[in-house]
Amino acid sequence: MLRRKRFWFAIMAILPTFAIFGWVRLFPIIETLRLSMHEWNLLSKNKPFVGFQNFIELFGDNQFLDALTNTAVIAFGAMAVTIPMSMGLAAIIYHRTRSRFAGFYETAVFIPHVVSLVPAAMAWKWIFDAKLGPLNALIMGLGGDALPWLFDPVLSVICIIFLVSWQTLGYGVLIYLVGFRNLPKSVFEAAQLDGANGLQSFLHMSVPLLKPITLYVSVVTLISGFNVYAQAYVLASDTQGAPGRQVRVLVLDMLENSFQNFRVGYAAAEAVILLSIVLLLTLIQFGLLRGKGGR
Amino acid sequence: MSANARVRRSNFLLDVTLFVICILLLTPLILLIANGFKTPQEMLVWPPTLFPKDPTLQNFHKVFTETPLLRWMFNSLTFAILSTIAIVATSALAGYIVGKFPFRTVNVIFILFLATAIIPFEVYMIPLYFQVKALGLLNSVGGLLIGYLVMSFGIFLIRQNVIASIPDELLEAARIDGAGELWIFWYVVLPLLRGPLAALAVLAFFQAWTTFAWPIIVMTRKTSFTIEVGLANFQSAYTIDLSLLSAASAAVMVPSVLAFVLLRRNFVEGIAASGMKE
Amino acid sequence: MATVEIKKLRKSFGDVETLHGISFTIPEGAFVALVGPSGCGKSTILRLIAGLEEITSGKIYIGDDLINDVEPKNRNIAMVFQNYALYPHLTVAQNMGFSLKLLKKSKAEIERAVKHTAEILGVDKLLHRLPKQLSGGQRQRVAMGRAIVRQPKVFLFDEPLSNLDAKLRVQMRAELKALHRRLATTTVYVTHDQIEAMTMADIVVVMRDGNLEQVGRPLDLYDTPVNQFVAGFIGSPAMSFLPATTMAGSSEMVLSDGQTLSKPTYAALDGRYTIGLRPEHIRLSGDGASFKVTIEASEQTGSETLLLAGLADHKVTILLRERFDTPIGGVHAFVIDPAAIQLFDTKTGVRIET
Repeated sequence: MLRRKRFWFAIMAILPTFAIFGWVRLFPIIETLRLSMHEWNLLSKNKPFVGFQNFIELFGDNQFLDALTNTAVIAFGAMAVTIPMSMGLAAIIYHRTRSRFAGFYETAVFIPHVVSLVPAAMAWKWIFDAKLGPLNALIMGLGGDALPWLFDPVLSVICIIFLVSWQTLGYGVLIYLVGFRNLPKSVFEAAQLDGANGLQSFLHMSVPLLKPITLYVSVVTLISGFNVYAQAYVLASDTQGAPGRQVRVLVLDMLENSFQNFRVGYAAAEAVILLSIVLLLTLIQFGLLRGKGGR
Repeated sequence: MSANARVRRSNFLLDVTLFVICILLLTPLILLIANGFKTPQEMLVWPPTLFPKDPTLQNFHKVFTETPLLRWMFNSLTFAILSTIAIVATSALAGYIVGKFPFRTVNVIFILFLATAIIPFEVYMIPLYFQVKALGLLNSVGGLLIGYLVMSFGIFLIRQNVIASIPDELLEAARIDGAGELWIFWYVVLPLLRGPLAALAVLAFFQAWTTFAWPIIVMTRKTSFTIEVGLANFQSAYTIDLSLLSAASAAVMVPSVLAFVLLRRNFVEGIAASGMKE
Repeated sequence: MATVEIKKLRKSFGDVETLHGISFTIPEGAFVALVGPSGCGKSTILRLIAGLEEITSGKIYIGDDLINDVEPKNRNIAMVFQNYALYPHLTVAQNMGFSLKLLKKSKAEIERAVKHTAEILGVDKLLHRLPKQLSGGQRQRVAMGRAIVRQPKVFLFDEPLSNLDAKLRVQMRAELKALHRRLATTTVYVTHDQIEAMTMADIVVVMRDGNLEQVGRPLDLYDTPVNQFVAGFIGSPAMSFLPATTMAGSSEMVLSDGQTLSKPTYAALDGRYTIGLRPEHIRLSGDGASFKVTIEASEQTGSETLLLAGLADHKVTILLRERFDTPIGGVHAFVIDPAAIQLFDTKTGVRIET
């Protein structure tokens, strides 16, 4: 009797949230999957079913492939930079936990992550500016040649990777710091007695013991890397000033297809591909974690 | 060298290294703020100056009086506050239910919450856009809010906390004493969730404040822009005036940084919790 | 193998001094137990010898070398931690070989040394297992193996048996002792269990609150404790203490209930003292001083009887190596050889020779 009452309370209480959830999460997700197999140009009432045609067309679409490549390069590039740097930085900050500056280090490292995407991108945009930015001024002052950072196809991608890494570094350091704090202290003392110096302890003990965290940070950085948009929007305006065109990323391509090319079904197919990539990465993470004997 | 002195020396070197790295990390932001104080002409000087020769407040004045920046800030703030309230409210209740009422239906609902947590917003925002449009809520805070009413991770966070720090016996005792379920939730459970709810609030606020892709498709009218979108489009409208742009960016940036420095503990707690969810 | 000399060792954590000038010497090849209640500083001394903590003042010598400023890895010592501190991500073989790997020894050499040590400890079949796949006793052995492989001059043990169940503990005690006989390395062994100290050590160091109470052979500590603390710490069940008075010229100690215990040497004393009685010295009958107690509790283990009794407003523990059934609340007489009665100064706790 009591159990029934509790059951109904639970259902009633969770219903509003679940209803909202169903409408703003479940429904759109299913819609995306559904639309990806249809053709819709925003205006007509007609939404013919086209099966996998959108997907087939996507893989022949140069703009899409361009966006996919750029996005992948940015995502993996940012990950490759962020992981070692945040692990190393966290190691040093952890080592100096008792210093009176520890609070300053943690705060300073995290501020880039806290500054919202657009102002941060603005700051870097000026630095990278070919004609007015201090980076080129510094290079020329050292005797080198000025580079068109934001307009060269390769360099502009590097700039975005740099910006994304700069922003993600603080997050990585934070997570790694938590990881370091949870490492068993006696294991390090044993290593010290066995003859390991600081660097050897780090390489042979910290790095392997932090593998679960490294895995987690990798996947999170990769996934947010694949969703990059704001940074490209601001940094990579092409020569006419159109934002984000210099370095096409997946989200940009998707939005363009939907709202400028009036091909919603096509854009939905792109979204599904993005989803598949994210799911794949998450599955790989879980697989790798389990492979190491799980938790 | 004595062991003591050796440790002190290496500590000093590490401190210096960390200091330099931190300053380097913050330099772009410092330069941005400095640029806000330069005159437009000084911004075009080559080689560029790092700090303004003739600092002026005219940019900031202009930014606040002649551009819609304040309007944008108002939009962002309203949106962020409302989103935070919605997320905290739904997460608290839903998290409590999925944590302490393990009926099969409830568990299924929880799995649905969890499963969608990994799916990035960008994947389903296009259909959501059309739903918002159908309701006629484009270009309004309400429309923005639709995307940020619930947070799967928030529900998960509260659930974990509820399981870990609210003993079943406490709830049973209250029930035996005759308390109604809602009363229990409001007077027993919520006070115990103060810490995690605060961390969640900070996280939710931060998420709403910094979101970009969603506002940019939902808000097309300049007056309804959020700060992020407004700033991003600023560059095309005011391309020549870099100092103005910098001032605007600085004006947007400084409050969030200050808020962070003050609320650091809550912030860090929230983000660290998101790291441990795995 | 080397001697270890501790000279006037002091250690402070911040403003709090936890070691107040400790000095003692450990002869080469000896097994020395550092024993005392929690917080007495025994683990601190061990960590200072290892170099895991910094010395505030004083000197430590290993052999002829002053090692105050020598890094832990260069001190030629090895330590077994209380929780073993095995490298969780490395196999048993890798755990044991880690120090050699850091010394850049060849793979063949490492394999040989690891195999040899593993055989001594009986873990040679476990070489490719991970620590989490081992039982408590096996982990302990691997931890020891890791220490042994380094062929150090001094072994340091930090309460290595306290995480094992009682039966395993007894077995490991014997094995450790046998190992020490075989390797003959100087060993410093920290424990809070005085039975471990007594049964394993050549020399026992008793500590309390950062001070050295007594250093000596186990049986010497038992027979001639230097003060009341050591007397009460060594020996299980613990010695019972009660106040007594004597008058100059009288060979009797008077307890507060009027009973007396006689010993000729008491005639030289005058005033209030504290008497110590070891439970195992009290017998049911025979020659010696006799006294009556009220039985309050009785525990039979099959071969022994442990009695808790009241004597002159104080509690006395009696251990009889036989079965003895007696009603609770009843009064019974017991006997003790006067030579076995210890006498202590009531104010300072120092033992008085009688």
